Amino acid sequence: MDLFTVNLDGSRGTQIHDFSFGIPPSGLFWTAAVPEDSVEGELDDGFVSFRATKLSLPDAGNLDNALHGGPTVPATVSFEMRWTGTGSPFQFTNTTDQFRGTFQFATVAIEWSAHTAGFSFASDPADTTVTVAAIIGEERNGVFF
Amino acid sequence: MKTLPYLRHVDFCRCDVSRRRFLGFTAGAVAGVATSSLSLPALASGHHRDHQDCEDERVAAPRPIPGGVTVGPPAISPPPVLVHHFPFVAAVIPFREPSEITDFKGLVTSCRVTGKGTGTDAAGTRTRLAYQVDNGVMDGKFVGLDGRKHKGTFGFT
Repeated sequence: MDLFTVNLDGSRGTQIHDFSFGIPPSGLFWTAAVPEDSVEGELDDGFVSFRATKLSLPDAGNLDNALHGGPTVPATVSFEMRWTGTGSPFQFTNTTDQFRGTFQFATVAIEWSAHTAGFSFASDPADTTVTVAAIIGEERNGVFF
Repeated sequence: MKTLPYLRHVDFCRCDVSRRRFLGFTAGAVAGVATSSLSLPALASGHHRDHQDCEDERVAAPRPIPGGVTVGPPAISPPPVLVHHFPFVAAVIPFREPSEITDFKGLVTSCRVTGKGTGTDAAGTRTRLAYQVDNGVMDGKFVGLDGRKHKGTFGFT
């Protein structure tokens, strides 16, 4: 979850915060176990929600530092986000990546906040979220492919 | 000092879960097969909370997907870094793997969203900021680094 300055013309400027789960020695990327009740969904109705309150996420400051394992500072992040399916679900197989499943493209609404020492951030309301791309679905890969 | 949240979460006991929290697609809700030459058995089984083949009550660390993208200059300074992740930046078919976990079967979501908000520093000065969020969820069965089957809920952020 990244924060950037805003240029005078309204465009995105320099990255100043980078909140992520980090990368363990296995290479698992920015992914960690979360409480099971933080995720709810009913794919037939086309929604999945994901929420967290005061989740401890290191702040690496920017992507360069995050990917090269540079120093971080402690931070907490809270968010509530909801994927809403658009169009019809479809089945899809990618033999290159060796996964298949039933998927539905989606839009996302998120409202979130972050806190570090001497800094806090609060997003605008969820209905102002701009979805670049989003997807929900059931997938199987690897030994389950 | 860098904190490692994933180490704090691996001891969740998951096999005592009984309530239905996640419902999958039913066969009638799914449109035709997209860009596939394979005959696909329905993945939908109603929910993922069946327990019969959960081999271990403790959630082990999952394996990352084998693929991913290499990030290098100008996005970051050298050397380039392979990340086991495909940013989901276009809702088009075909697409790359949404999951971050391999040997996995279950619910998956991914996204890229942007927006604005307000930052406040220690002096109380408020500044408009832009954000980008690439978050996702994986909830289901997986084979962990320990080689055993588990159930787990994982967030990507």
